[in-house]
Amino acid sequence: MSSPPPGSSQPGLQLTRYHSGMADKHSALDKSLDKGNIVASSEAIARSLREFEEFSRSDRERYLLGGLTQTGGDQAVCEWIAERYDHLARMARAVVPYEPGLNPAPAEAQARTWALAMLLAGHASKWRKIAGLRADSGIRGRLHKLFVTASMAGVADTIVETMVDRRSFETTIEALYVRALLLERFASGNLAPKRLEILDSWLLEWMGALWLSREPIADGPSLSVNTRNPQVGLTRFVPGERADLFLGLRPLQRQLDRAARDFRRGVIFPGWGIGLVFRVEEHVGLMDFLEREFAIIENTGGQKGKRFAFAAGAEVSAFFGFNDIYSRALQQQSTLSVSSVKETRSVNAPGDVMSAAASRRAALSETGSFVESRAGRQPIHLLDISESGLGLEMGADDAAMIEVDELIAVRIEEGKPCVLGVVARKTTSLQRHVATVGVRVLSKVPLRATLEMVNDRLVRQPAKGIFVTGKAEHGFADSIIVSDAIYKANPTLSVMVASGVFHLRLGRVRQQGPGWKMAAVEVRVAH
Amino acid sequence: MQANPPRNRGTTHALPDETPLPVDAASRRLRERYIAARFLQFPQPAHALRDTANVLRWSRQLLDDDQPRQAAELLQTALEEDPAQRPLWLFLIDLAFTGNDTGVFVELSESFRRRFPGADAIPVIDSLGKKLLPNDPRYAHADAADTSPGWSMPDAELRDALRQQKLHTALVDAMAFHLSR
Repeated sequence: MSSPPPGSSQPGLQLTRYHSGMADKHSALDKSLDKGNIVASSEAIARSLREFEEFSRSDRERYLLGGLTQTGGDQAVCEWIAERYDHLARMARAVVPYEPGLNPAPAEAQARTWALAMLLAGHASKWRKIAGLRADSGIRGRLHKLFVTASMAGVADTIVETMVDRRSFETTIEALYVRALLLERFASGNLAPKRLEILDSWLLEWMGALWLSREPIADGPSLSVNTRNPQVGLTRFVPGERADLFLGLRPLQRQLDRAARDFRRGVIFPGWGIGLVFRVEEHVGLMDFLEREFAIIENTGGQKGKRFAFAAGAEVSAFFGFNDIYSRALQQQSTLSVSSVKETRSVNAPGDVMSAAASRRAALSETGSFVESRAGRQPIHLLDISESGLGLEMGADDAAMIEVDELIAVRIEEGKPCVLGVVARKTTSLQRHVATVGVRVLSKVPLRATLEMVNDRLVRQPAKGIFVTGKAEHGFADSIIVSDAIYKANPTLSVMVASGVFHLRLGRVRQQGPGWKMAAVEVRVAH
Repeated sequence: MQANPPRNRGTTHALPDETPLPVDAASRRLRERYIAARFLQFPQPAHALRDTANVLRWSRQLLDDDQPRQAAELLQTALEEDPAQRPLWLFLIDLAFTGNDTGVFVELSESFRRRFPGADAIPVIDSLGKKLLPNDPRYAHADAADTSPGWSMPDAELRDALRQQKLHTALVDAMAFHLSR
């Protein structure tokens, strides 16, 4: 076996001859596999996987620990890791006895081949995401095929022993299928690499809860999968839509509670794997992320979601930064544009309503010519989208101008409202000189608000704001994004929404980034 | 007072862990780091989590943010530090009631009864139990409550729900308009 690459004293990772040696070994193994002898072939691939895990462990750990300060060498090594997992996954798929009746190997041995292929499919998918490579469009179809054929062979729920990073697990092909589908779903664009790695450790530890029902789940919300649709993985279950397998959320929520309880007892969960060395904040960040995802699934259960008519790779427009978003992206998305607006209220008394000047300014912004242009020089493409996030691909030069935690507005469909989000992750692929940018969605319909600071001056000062409406009907979850300077000034703000005028105070900060704060809205006066 | 949304949101699955807190320094440090990261405004959890008013205020804010699971966890965490904080038990019981989480409601109310025998709140809890579990013999003697006692609601004088709701309705209308364009 190759020894781990030297060079730990160098800043960043480097591809070495040891890496190419490992790739050569995989190619040699691929050529030498006797695909008719599934037991020997599967064992050889499993050995090769363990050897690769040992070889790449420090690279994987150092890459993930590198955070935002990735070098070109780091990225090259990361893409190499993704490529190696892809190759091993291809080899494992090639020895699966899709027609088991034709293979003389015992059922348990056959089950191990499916399990290895499913495990590697999950690894490969995860590392493609971590490396910022384009999602493999065939992954879902292959996962479905592996699971359906394993079910037909009667081995999907056979208990098999598998190994990840020196740790042995008892699991089933079904649980590995769910793990791979959940990684696919939750890693859609906006989960940072460290958190994705932690998520995988959690899912491996939660194997006992990763089982599917053939009937819709009666107790609580669920996700579903249609194994006949190779384009779609786990989606929120909507009655009436075609699905043949269901995954209840409650068991996952209980597992999440268990993880939280362990942390409160001073025990890091699960206590193994690369994630063990990450800061507690990363684990908590994943906990918050999963809670948000579960809440979205739960709160929208039973409703048909509005689906965006887009194709993977569709070209979209994007705007970055609070000012650009306010003045360009949201030019036609103001609080004044409401079908029920009948009239513009007149000024009654100082402090009661918006000033005439502000009303004019706000109204003008509604009728101004609409000019939309892309932020970058190269087209920006949509890679994937879920209820809570989306992934974009853009030129590396354009991506260099934005940073994590920056506001971003994306127009997915021409003529439709811009979606507002926060840049959650950014990975630059050296091979293709493009970057993938993960966006956590704040609002599907942000609203531009023309504000005025209510004070004792004769002429009120204007201010810019963007409303992010919360789901809760009580309204206390509503927020407004303002600049740091406005937040610091702590003013009372007047705003017109439809025909109503409201005086607001800025409450606690719910989220923030460079130059902006998203604060809770506290309504003091409503006319 | 609030209406009872008859929906189990799985918000209070985890009950307060009444086993002793970790005493070794490393575990204690990890617990504190976890709490500080999860609940940002508690840099010194051991002290801050014993400030009942502060915990109540923050839990209510988390409910405002539509994060009931996090609110429940904060209350549980504070009760792990000091289980004598009676309003926090009542807050959790109210959450279980409004969330229609019957199993958790029963466990919490039994724990409360054991911990605070003769407390004024017990008849109220029984009437909530009767409403939630009309056939449960534990609550047979009580009259079913119509509404929640509001133990998880903020003091009414601190804010005006109607004003806030008016703005929210206007914002939702504006969003609907833009979506329909």
